[in-house]
Amino acid sequence: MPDKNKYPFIEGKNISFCVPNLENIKLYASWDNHPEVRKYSRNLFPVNPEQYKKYLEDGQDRVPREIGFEVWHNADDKLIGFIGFNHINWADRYGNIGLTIGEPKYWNKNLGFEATYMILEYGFNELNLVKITGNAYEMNIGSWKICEKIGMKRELVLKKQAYVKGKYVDEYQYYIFKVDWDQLRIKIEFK
Amino acid sequence: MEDQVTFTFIRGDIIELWAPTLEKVNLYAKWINLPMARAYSRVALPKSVNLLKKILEPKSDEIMRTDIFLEIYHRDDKKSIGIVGLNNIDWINRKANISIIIGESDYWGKGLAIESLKLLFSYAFEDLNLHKLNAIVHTPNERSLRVFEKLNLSCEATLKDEIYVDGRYYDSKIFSLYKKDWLNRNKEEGALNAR
Amino acid sequence: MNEKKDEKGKLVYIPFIEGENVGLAPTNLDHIHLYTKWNNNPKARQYARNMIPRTTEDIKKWHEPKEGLTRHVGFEIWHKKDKVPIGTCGFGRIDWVDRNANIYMTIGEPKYWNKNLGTEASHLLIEYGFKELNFIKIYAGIFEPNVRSWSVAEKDGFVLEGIQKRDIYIDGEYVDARKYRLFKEDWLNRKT
Repeated sequence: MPDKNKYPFIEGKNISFCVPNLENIKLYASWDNHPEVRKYSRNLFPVNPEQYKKYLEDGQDRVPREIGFEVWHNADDKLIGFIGFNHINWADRYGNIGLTIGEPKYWNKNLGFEATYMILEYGFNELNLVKITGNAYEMNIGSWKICEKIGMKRELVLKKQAYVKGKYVDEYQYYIFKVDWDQLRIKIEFK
Repeated sequence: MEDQVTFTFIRGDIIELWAPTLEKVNLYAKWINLPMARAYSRVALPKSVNLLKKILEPKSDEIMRTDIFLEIYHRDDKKSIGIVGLNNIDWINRKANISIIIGESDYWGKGLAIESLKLLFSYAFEDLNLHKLNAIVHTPNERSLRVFEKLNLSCEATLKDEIYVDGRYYDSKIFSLYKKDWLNRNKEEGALNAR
Repeated sequence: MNEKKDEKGKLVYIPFIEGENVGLAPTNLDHIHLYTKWNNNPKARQYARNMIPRTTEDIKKWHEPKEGLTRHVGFEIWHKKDKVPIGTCGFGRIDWVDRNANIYMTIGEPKYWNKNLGTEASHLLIEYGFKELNFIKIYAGIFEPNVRSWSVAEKDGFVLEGIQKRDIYIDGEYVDARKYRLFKEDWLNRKT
């Protein structure tokens, strides 16, 4: 099997964040189409790889409102997901996190938690953000449990905010400030 | 060996619905242009390869799609056999037209159109929050008429002399399905299966 | 076309939605200079920042007609008697599947403030959102110091869904954002 090119940007214990890569757009498309994965990332429309091409080529010169990374499993040397900030407001210094572990084999292994830790570090320590938010629909229990475990607080419950599988569901929004993170981060370790 | 990347979008028992890809545009065009499809189906899908490509082109997130189609894939035989989709999606009035073509004739008469449409209905009503689906069937197309009758869509209107085929005019029928009825139907079936 | 010019070449207003003292007309790229002025007016923009784009290019892009259904519907607010546009309003972040949207409104001309014209315009807009665009939920983010705005929202039946702390940096300090929501059935059932 030919080695995939990867360009690590942040290295963690079990996973690393790499720069998005045009070579992998087929995989990105398969995740966003995958019936189980897209339930949680809430992707409603079928997508083809060309649509990622445009996204990757477009965002190159301006100050980004979005910054994303590939998530790679270190030991298996495998591309397993995507993470980043999907709404950065530079003037007010906050960003919203989005995370997809696209390969179901890698669910329930604490990797989502580790990825969230790394992205918070990046957002606060490198992007100089003051506040980071994350949101999840009520049935996406895995997602908002990560937010709570890592120390984010629930700021809003938006009632009947989205239509999922035939009914309106609530959306939870979580937040954390840098001052809080500075205290919390020292208590977290990864094996 | 690395797994082939597939674009499964909806999973059924025998059928999967896949996201269409630009690579297969010629296959889709072949199915849509089959003589049988051309004469009696007059589906709303564009017949030219270029128009199909346009639907698959990357679009801005800002503009809502008016057409969504999916590739019908037979899991056991590992073969793509047709396309199914929604056209003229009207997001404010929350309705759309249904299109389906089983392009590979070996797969006719096996209930695969029905399974594909059931998956499509779930997607349209449970994911896209549409209120109503319409299917326009031209009367010479008895196979299609039977499919929609079997699916319990009600015929809301008959348009007389609506199309000209083989030297004469034929009527078209409009079949409709409402979200409410679809969700109730599934609830009942779910209850039946649970016993 | 919703516009005509009278003999003097002045724009005559033909509304899309008619109210008693104000009317809502489609946005007009000829008025970009007005929108930009309103958008930058220090008093007007102070509490509007999160809801309205900031640069002229943004404003142009925001209002440019696009082919197909987008996630934004915008209007000009016209003063019927004085026959002038006085602000803009509309829905942004429209989600056609979830059937909800963010409502925004600015009376850009200071002399038209404190006359309940904003309230009238927002009522027209809310009716339009529920009865014509088929929304089930309308939401609004209003900054804590903007008391006038959120008091009116609460009187109209908007419910406080939560507060986003230290959401935006205004005049040297962070302020909270109050997130309000209005469900269609609550609006239609309210006591007039």
